[in-house]
Amino acid sequence: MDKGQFLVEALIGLLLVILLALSIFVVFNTIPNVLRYSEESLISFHLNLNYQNILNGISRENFSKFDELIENVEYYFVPTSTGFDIQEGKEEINVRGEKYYVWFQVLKEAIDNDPTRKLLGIFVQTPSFLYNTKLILTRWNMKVFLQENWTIPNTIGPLNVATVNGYYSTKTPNVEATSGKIWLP
Amino acid sequence: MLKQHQERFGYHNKGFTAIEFILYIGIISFILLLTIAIFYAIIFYTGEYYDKTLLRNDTFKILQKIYYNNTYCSSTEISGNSIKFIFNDGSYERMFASGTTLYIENPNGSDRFLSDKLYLTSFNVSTSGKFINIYMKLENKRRTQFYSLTSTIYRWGF
Repeated sequence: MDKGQFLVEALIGLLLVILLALSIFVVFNTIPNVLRYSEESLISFHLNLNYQNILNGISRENFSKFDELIENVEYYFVPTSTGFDIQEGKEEINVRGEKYYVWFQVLKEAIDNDPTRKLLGIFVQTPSFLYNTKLILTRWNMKVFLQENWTIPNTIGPLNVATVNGYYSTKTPNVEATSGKIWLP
Repeated sequence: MLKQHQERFGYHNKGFTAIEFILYIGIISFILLLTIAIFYAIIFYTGEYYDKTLLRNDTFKILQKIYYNNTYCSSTEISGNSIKFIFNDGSYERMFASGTTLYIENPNGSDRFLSDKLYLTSFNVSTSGKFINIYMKLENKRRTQFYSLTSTIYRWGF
């Protein structure tokens, strides 16, 4: 065997060993990590949107619940037969032996000193990352928001009682709701 | 002594000794076995990864459909294993489980919404107050991997 032939064979052998080592690394290290992060992001997406939906629901049904919460304290939801209760702490979720935590915080009790607008943060802790989403909740009434005949109310105006549904009205101090007149917030 | 050793173990111009040959076969067998094991593992894990990716993608697709529809629908109707999202223009989308798969139905008809390489083993829709909980469990065909989760949505009902 001459020198040249030996060198070429050694080079090809080395190349094959490097290729094998690379493929082993990719298959047993890179791809599992990619899939793991992908799975974690899916669970994070799912938990995050669940919390967004619950927060939106509570914001619409009973916004004053958020007034009782303390800024920068961790809270989580406990399911009940009629909805969800808010409790202090983090919710622990076990997915195939891996622990995930989800919670929310009131980051700002009043945006621009307006307590009817609050900034909340939803946090999901996966085994690898901490995901954080911000959400602004407003004390608004979606039922009124989507009405076709909505106008910005700034005065007491006459209304046809037959077209008025109960939930469009709220009691306002110092305003007497007489027949045919109603205060829109 | 050295000469004797060289005669016994040294290279011979005419061919291999029995020990050299056995050693050669042993080394080659070991390398072959290792290579086969590595390739088998690569093929096995590629299948596992494929199933995992499929499960992840289909779960994401279903979740996204639920959350998206819930944002834009004007009302919902539910039964034990189906949920119907009704939109403002009168159209609708109904997700329902039948057998081991998930279907989606709209005014134009119904179609499969889950890959035929996956099983849907649970799809339960329940309510708690103004919230809807959808519990689902997806499995791969070999039943080696699964996703089970509960999706919570708020019943807007405009």
